[in-house]
Amino acid sequence: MVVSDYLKEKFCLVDLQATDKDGSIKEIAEVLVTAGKIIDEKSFIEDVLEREELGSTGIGNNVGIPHARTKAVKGFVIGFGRSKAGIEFKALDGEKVNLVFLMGADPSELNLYLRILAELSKLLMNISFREALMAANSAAEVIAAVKKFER
Amino acid sequence: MKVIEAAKTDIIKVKRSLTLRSLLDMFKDFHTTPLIPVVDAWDHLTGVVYPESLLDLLRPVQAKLFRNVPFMEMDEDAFDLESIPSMGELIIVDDIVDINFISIKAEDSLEEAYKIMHFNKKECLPVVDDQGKIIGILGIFDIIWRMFKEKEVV
Repeated sequence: MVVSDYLKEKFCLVDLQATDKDGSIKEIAEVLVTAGKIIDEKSFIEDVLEREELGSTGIGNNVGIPHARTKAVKGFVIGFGRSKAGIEFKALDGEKVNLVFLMGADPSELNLYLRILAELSKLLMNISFREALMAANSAAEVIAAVKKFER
Repeated sequence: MKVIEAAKTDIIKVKRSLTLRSLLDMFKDFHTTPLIPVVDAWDHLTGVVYPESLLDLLRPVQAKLFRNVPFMEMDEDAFDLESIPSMGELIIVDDIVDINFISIKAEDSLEEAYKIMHFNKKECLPVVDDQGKIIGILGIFDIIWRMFKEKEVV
């Protein structure tokens, strides 16, 4: 149970308003600022978007995992946003993205960052997990789904 | 003798945007731990990828947590690997590069280079010029070979 150690209810949005990639990243980042781990919101968003320029994190199956190692973050932080309408994400399969996990980590947190990225990728390969996230009616149900499937 | 006289200059270097899949493919024929220099558009060395980091992508997350429990400290978990195909495209060099790397200058002496390697427990190091551009890699064996060459053994 590691993703749920960091992903909390207050960092989950079940009704993203954004319709594009940049907007969705900014919307989730705003929520993460409340965690107190994002030292500089503007730099954080810039670093995540720069990372997206190097290669899209829209990995298919309507999932996006934008992330960056950045000094704008203290430690490690992760947030979630869902858009039922879908977001234009320039995903590898060309499809819209419904589920967005935004991650940021201090550059020194390489080990933790890679392990959680791997764990999250593994979880998101499970269609039942993705369906549970799409069906969740609240942030609490998102967290419950994460805890259920990461067992 | 200077580092540049012993270093290998025919090296493979990668950009930050290279995917994990391409990186693994590029180094599939290496039978030892490769040092992977990461460069910008002008060949300035910006980081190094240590293959050990790649194992973190494969090990179950729990393995690290149990590392702090003495009686759970087992090497076997290193082979308890997970299969996550989507990571081949999701992870790029920028995600795994170590920016706190150690390098040596082309004009440094071999003796100095050896001391740096020994002190930092590294078997090879990237070699840069005065502008920070990568120009080669120096390994322990390059130094050993040069020493024998000096003694006219080879």
